[in-house]
Amino acid sequence: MATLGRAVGVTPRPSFWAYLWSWITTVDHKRIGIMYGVTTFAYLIIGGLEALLIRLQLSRPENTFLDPETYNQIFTTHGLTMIFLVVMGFNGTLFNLVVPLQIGARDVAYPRLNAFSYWMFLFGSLVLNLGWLWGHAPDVGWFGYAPLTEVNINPGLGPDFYVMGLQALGISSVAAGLNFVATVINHRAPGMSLFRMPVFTWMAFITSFLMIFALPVLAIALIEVMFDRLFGTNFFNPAAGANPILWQHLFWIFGHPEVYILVLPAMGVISEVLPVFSRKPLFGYPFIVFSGIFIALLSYGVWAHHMFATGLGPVANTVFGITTMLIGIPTGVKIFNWLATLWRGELKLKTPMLFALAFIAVFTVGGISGVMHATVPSDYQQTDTYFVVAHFHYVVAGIVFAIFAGIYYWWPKYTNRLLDEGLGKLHFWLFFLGFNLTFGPMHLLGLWGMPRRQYTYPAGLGWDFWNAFESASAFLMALGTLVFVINAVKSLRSGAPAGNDPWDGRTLEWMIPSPPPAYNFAEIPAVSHRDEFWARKYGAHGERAQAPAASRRPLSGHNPGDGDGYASDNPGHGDGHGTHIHLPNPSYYPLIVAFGIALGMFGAVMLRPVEVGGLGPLGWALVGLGALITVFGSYGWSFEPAG
Amino acid sequence: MAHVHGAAEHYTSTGIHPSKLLMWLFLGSDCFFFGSLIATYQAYRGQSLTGPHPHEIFNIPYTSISAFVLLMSSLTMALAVNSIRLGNMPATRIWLLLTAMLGSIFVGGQVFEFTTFVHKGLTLEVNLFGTTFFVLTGFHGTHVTVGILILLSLLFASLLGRLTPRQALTVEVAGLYWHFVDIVWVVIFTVVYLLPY
Amino acid sequence: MIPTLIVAAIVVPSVPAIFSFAHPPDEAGALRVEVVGHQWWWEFRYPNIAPGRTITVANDLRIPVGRTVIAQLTSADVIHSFWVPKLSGKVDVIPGRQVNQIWFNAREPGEYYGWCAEFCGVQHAQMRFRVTAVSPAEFEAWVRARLSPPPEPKEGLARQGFELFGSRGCGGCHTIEGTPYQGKVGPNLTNIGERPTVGAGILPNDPDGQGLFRWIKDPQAVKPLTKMPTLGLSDDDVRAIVAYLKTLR
Repeated sequence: MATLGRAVGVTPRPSFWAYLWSWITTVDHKRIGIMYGVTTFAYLIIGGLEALLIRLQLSRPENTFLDPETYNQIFTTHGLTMIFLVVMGFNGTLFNLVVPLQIGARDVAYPRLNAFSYWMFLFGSLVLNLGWLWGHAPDVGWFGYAPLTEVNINPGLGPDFYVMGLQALGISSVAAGLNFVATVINHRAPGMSLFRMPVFTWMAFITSFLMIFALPVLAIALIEVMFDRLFGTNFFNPAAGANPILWQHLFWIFGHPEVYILVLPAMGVISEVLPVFSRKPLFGYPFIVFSGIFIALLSYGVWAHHMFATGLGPVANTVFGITTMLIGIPTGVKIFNWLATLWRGELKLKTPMLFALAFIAVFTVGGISGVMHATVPSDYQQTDTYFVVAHFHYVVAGIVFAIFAGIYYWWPKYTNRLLDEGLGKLHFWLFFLGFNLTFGPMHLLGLWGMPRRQYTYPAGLGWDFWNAFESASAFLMALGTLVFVINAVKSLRSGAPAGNDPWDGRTLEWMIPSPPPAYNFAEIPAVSHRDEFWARKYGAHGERAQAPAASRRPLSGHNPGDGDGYASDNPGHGDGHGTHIHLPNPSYYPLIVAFGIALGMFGAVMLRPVEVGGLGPLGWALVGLGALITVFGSYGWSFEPAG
Repeated sequence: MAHVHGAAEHYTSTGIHPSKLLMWLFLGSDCFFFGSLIATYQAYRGQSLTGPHPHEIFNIPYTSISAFVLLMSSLTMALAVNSIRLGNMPATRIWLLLTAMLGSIFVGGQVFEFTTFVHKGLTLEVNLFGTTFFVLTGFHGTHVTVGILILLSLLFASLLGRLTPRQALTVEVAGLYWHFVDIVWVVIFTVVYLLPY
Repeated sequence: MIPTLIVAAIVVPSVPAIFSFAHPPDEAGALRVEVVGHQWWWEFRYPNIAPGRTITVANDLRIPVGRTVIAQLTSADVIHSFWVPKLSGKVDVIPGRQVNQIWFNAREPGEYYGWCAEFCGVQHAQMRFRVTAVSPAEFEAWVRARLSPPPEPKEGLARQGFELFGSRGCGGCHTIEGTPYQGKVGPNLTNIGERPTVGAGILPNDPDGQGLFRWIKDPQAVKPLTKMPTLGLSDDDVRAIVAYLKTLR
């Protein structure tokens, strides 16, 4: 704990409790980002273990390692964990750690709302997973198709934890989206026009809009299921004339923008790493930005491609097939521009670069199988088989490559330590190999007719070998991740000091000390170029052969390796030089409000009858208590002194 | 409401104040929220297997009056924003109070209206119309109620001397929310009540 | 530009296929069947196969080779998906008002594997079926045979089984045409003796009766949480019932 504290620039405190309190009440985006990161990584491990359990069960036909009830809970929570807790958690991590630095800001627009987003994320993740304690984790698949979630079909608590957990997580995401849009619009350094922003910030900006405008649709869909279960409404009740397909429409109108919420930040990471490790500016910056915008807009027009087999009719299927094909085009544009960035670059194949290159390869494969899915008649055979499982793992699990690229890239900024290159490369190759050997053969299995979400399969269909092969290969990915953990621990303990700018970076975050001081920038920089830091080092057109010695030292005059006192939790006084920098006060109200909401959500689950594990009408006490805490916390938050 | 800022407190790249921006974005997301509920209502329009049906239940003149009340509350809200910008705190308080009262009359009218519907046999569970109608209007009513609580909080803060003309922006932002809730009602009233069944 | 052309080159030829998937050829001469998905088995009906007569079977869909089959799909509970990979793409089976339609045409005789292809609960993995394609003559013969109820066994183990079927409660869930057993909860068993599989496509209906024995003795062991309870029948009882069911062909 103290080592980590030193690593992030916190001087050891006299009392453990005071230290803990400083984290609980923090509103500093850097600390919030670290909390997101730690939580996310824990769920990466959990989601990975869930995956290994799945693969163990499927390693043999007619296996009895997991009974069907357990298997169905595991594959459901594996999907929920990886999508909502790992990839979205990583978005929260990077948005916080990187965006304010890249735009030259001291913090986000609403620091307390930022802390609230984190606590809501943590508590929401707990509500989602609390079902395990009742033996009733969600078991309806991550997209929970009605009427499987209706109370007469699934009376256990699984769907209730699913609904309320996702609802809580949705609140976290909307709050974060609002905050980051406001931050990017209003807190850019002077001279940083939108088209001088780094691409990662652009992608975070676009993603934030998507979060604001997609999650509410999911919220309504979840409310409708919740009301059906708790209050006897008829939203998905076929006996009353309802059409369960309505759930699918609402879910996927959220769901397709959701996958772009997952991937656009990852693409942003790639767009940062490639130029730095090719020592060339990003090729086609406007194309990359506009393709991101176009993808976001078009993402609302493709949702029914998840529903080609539901009987929408040939006209609807044709229209959505065409729009789905169209959305592949801007993605292709990005890939071509990335390749052009690499072309004739001075490539430095460090670990972040390896992961970034692998992302491009893996995402392209996923994109190709995606085009096959967009071809509707093909999809009639491919959907709901291991072919689509292969497709989405290549694209969504492909994001994990971008996640690791980002971790390796920004790690030195926050820890002032380098990760070991040797271990990094070992991690990379194990993971890359394991990934392709696990998910590659799934294309074959799908084409050979193996349906998805089946806890077992019959022997003698020719599937046995490849299933066993995939299961073994999955352990390579686990091994690679273990190597990363070892690397991380080693780096924190005894890694080489990184300094401000270990990669000879292009963007503003590399200008300031590692780890960043509480106030980020001693003086907010004036920006006159895209890749402003690179221009300061090498001239606007690279006319200087080498960065002048002076600019390799941080602006604040501190030497690399000094931990700055983490002054953010002392009201009013930063370590600013000359300017009296005013930092936001810490606050416990975000935690209180988040807790109140989560308690209310949990209470709603407990409204279910006692026979299935709920509290019956006593649940209203929990709901009421949660509401009261929320209201009290909100008033406290609103009337807190500004400091 | 108190604001917490970093050193760039008075500088914003666009000149739009952050809290106004935040409210606009939030209202944008709320559009999708209500849009989905209205879409659900429309998807199930005319599909109920049993009654009661809308034409047997609705009292359009009654609902028109309550819609008018809510519309008038937007007027009083605008007057409240205007008053605080002019620095007239007593007038601000009156207009805030009136807005809250008109909002409460609207909500009370809805409660009465829905009780009547229930007596005529329309409940959450009875058919698709009951389900979609009550959930849609219920969430709208909840939004109005939250708005009333916000307005009363502002009124109370003003009485304590904590709301001054320097916080005019706060009232304006609250006004944005209130107008949004009113506009949503106009849409619901049109789509649900007025369009021929 | 180039990506757009590539995309167009793929999409344009696919559109006719989308429409032909939706519109069966030769509707007039097609065989019409109804498919009802249940958790976790398949009900198949041949409505008006003879004037005023409907044949109901389960888990084994018998069709004539070379003739278009048009199936109307509905579900009794949750969303399932009807998929016979070697015959057609899949179409979802939905409870409520929406009745989907699928058509297919078996060019070769044989047994085709069928799957449920939409996650439908605990035993989604073991909700399979077979489509058995036979020559048109064999199909006609089969239909004629199905139109008259199977004979009631008069003596021996099969007779014992026939009586146990009632006294042990099987008739409460299952229908066997021409008998007092008219239960509507579980699959229709009128021709169970000739079906290739047991338990919804998961156990072979072998000549020795091992598959049937295993299923009836302890369905919960084979397919945990299936709706058919393990009744705790003695081995002798089960053997008798199997003998009876074997006569139903």
